[in-house]
Amino acid sequence: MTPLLQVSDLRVSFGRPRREVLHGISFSIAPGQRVGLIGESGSGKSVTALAVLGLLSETAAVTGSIRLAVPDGDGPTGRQLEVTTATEKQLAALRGDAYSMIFQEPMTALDPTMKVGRQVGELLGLHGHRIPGGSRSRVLEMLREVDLPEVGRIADSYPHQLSGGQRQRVLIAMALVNDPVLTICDEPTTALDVTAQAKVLQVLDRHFTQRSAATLFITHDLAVLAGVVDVAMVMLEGHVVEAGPIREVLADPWHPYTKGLVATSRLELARPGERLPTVADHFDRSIPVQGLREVPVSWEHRARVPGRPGGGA
Amino acid sequence: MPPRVPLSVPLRLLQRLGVFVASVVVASLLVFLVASALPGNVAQVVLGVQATPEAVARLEQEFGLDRPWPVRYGAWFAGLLRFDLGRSYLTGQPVLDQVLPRLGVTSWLVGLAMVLALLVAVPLGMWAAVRRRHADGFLASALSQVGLAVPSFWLGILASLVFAVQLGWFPANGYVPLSAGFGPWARHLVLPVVALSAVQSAVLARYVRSATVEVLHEDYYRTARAGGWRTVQALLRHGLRNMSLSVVTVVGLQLATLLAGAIIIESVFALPGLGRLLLDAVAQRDLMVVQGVVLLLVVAVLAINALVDMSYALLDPRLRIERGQVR
Repeated sequence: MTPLLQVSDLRVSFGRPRREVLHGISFSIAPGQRVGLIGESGSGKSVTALAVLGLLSETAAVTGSIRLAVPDGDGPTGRQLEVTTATEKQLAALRGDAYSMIFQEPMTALDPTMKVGRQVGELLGLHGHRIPGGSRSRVLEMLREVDLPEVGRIADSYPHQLSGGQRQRVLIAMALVNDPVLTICDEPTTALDVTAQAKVLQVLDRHFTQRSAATLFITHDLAVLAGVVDVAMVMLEGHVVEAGPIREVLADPWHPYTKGLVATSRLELARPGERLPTVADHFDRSIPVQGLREVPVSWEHRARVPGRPGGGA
Repeated sequence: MPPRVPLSVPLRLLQRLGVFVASVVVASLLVFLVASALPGNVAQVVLGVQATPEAVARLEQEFGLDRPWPVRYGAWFAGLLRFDLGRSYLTGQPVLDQVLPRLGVTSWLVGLAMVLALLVAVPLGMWAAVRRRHADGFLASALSQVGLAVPSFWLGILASLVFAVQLGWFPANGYVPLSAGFGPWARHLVLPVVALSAVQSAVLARYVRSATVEVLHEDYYRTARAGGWRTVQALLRHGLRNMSLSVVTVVGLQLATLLAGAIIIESVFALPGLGRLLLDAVAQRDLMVVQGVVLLLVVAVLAINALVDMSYALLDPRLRIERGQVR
């Protein structure tokens, strides 16, 4: 089966002189596959996400290849779009339709001057979807699907009249309204409190399951990831350093950095009065990071940096 | 300190109206004082340089200029309340009758110049912002920079020389009312309007550019792009209204400079507008006309800025507080 997304040797650099922030990463996502992307701030997670939909700023220099499968109304067509050379028009036709994205900051991600129902609804018309019963009914259905209460009132509200969790669910409704085959979630729960987080994760998980849709789910929070994705990559300083089925990565991390991440996320093991574990306990930052050449398309086998022993730094 | 309870929209409009009325009262006093401080006097102008001091004093008394200024101001202000701007010292005609026919000329000139400035500046500024890292966007920025430096009277004279005197496309000066036909009216206004709006376009384009650059960095613009809107579509659909808040403010402030510019442009193109009336009245020390015209201009600027303030609530839903809404 053709993968939905195929990234090979993706390098992104900014500024003058050029500073490379992604050092040749490769991976692919098959239809219905849920892929996690873990890493600390500045590791290149968001740059990867934005690059996939061609949303990086003009100042970014992108090399390598990003291929998106181009589906039509009925399913895959076998055609692929090379994002790095595509026109804005070609990309815009895919964005928000077959491929969508949810961002981290719900407080500022909605147009403050437009009612939220309209912001959801206009994406239906933009991609030419005729809705029996009108777009309003589809908007309300979508708002119900993301578990918002009193959908009529919410649809007629402006963003400032909603809470952060409600806004994020409106943004999710926008991202899912055209039934995308792949949704990129860039830390969708980071800005929310714990209750709102759980709600958002539940809504996303239910949607992906019902539609057998794929996702690239980005987070720095391992606890969040375990419940949502099947496989995961670990990113560090612009390299993918480890990849494989999420359970195996969490149960038996190979890379010292991943070991550190897992150790710091298991707070239940910490004893009162004792110093909390840090990533630095497991991982020596002074050693230059080496990346994986390619994440296996099947994701079945674990991948690790060659020449690096499984234990210790 | 008790918490500040935000006012509802009608109450806020009422409050803004109060501010407007108070500003007009203060402005009338300032206008009166400045006009009174002008050196020279109208009686001298009427009687000529050879007139005896006694004759001048007699005429001053006749005009009521010998009374103390608070009394004169009181009389003038009382008239204002009845929409009476007083009578010209020179002609004895009511000032209002002199002002009204000229109001049309200046209104057309300023209004059309503002509209033209917006039509040029909004696309130019947005272009300069979107293409700011390319040669054409840089050119658009440079163009507005140059436009800033060109004085409108100089541009007016130049345009008149080239398009009226040399090419003969438009009349070099004068005015024909709209009632005499659209064609002649428009032909007389083209050069003055273009000359007057050039600087305004340049100033406005710079504000539009920076407002657009701000929108380009907003999260909601990125959301719109991720939803499938193309660059310009996303800007027009989700940026324009957000930008309009700051642009509308500048337009209100620019109106004052536009009126000042109109006075000069009316002289360059010999348009019978308020500006010409004002300059003539100042030369003749006809203070009653000076006061009347200046006050009218001040009220126009204050009124526009009051409207600008009130439009914010219309443009930005965050500034509205609906009844019965609980946050």
